[in-house]
Amino acid sequence: MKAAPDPRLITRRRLFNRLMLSLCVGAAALSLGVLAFILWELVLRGVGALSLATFTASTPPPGSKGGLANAILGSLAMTGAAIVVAAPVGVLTGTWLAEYARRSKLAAAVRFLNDTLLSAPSIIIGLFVYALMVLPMGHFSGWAGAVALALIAVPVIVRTTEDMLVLVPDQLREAAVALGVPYWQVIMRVTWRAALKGIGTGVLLAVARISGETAPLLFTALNNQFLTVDMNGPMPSLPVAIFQFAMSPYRDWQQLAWAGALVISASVLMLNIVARTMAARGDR
Amino acid sequence: MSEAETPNAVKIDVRNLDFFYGESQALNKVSIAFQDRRVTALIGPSGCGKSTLLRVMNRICDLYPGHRASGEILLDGEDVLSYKGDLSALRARIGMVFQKPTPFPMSIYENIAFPLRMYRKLSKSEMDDEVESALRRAALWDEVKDKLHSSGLGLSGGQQQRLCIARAVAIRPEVLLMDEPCSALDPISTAQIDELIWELRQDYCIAIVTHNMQQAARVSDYVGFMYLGDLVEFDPTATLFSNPREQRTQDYITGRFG
Repeated sequence: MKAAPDPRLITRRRLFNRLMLSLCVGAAALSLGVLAFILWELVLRGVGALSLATFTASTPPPGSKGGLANAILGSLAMTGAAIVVAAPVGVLTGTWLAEYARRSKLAAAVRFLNDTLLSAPSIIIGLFVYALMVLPMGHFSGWAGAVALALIAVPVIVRTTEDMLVLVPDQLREAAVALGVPYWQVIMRVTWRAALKGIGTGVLLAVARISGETAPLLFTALNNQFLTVDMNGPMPSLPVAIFQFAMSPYRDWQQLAWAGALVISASVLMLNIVARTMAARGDR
Repeated sequence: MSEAETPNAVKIDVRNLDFFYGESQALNKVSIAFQDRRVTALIGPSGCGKSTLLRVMNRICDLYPGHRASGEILLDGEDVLSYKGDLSALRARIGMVFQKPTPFPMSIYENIAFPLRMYRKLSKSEMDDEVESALRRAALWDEVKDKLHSSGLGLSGGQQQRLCIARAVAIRPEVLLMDEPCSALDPISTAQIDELIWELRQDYCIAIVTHNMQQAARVSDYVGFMYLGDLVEFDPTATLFSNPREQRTQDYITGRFG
């Protein structure tokens, strides 16, 4: 015998469904709206401030024409140096956590420390490197900036690498081991390859993260008005230039800050697009 | 179904095997002999220790933390459990096919060539021949010969499983362990794999774990019925299915429990 469902229950369920759906849509619209507003303002003001000189001339004294070439170059140099160090260290640590240590006590400790480092305020990292490198050396330097950025990138890469490797099913490892493949080869040829796009995306996201960091550079690389690739001396960078110019009372400096903000956002966007394209390619 | 013939030489002799995951005992004094060039099926309800038994035989169990084994597993008279040499080389003598197809994230060709390169130095043309013959043995060659360099992940489930069998056969093992190789496959793919097992039987000692009674009856020469870590009954397939000695075996194969 079939009992007819109570129509009141169905009406209630439908109403509740509608309520939850509108809450979700509302929340999404709110967060996207704020983001769109920021981007809109950025593009509106930044495009007007952009010119060829932005990429060819160095940061000017107040009142004269100039660009951001030295800051862009400095950011590229320090971010590049940081990621060259952070990527191998981070990927190998994440691999150790996921493939060898797993549930050991040491792994739990390393994981905890890594998560602490991950959430540490970046200004503290900057102060740490200031005490570690700038004070003993007696001057600010691009290397110190790169080390500070690397310290921020490493925990990000460790985490994503471990997360991505844990997603690789154990049966794949067992299958390779059962074929007589030594474990280090299993990691290099099978699990890394299976997790490659995830790990690559993690590294690119770390690049995006550190290329926008200001606080750790204020105490380490400081700033500079000249085009330089000498990592032993103080080095300019985009975020620090934006910080300095945006806070200034001079109109042309403020204009350059808008241009810099647009350049940095556009490059991070490009990086994200590259990361996603890579991920999509990997799927095929 | 196969008639009981004169027994072949014993390839793997398991004696008094106990196995623990931490505190829980997964195998209890199991003794079973796998004959060369015969198919031995292991049946029993989930968690009875069938898969564990396979994983101890090639020491894959070493990957699990907190495991402990005692007893003997003699592969041609040599104890696998106390083996002190290179474990990878030992495992290469024992091929394994898993429940879910596990193609590596690389091309069909590389899936076979990569493990092969670990132990044999082959020229390009020799490797091509090895790959082709392995794929032919697994009855997959005709379906993939035009796309050897596309990803193994693009194949259907049944094709992926045959690729895994080709891969296992390519390293020329002496024993083939199959852990529910058809549980994720449709009936047509299952029939293809059954046929394949029957052909591979001419050269290998095969141990197959299955939940499918019909499959056990079709492909095996001997059947072991396991329950809660014990080997309850071990007999020629025809005997076990038509005239089991133990009540528990009878209940299981007639579907009264498990």
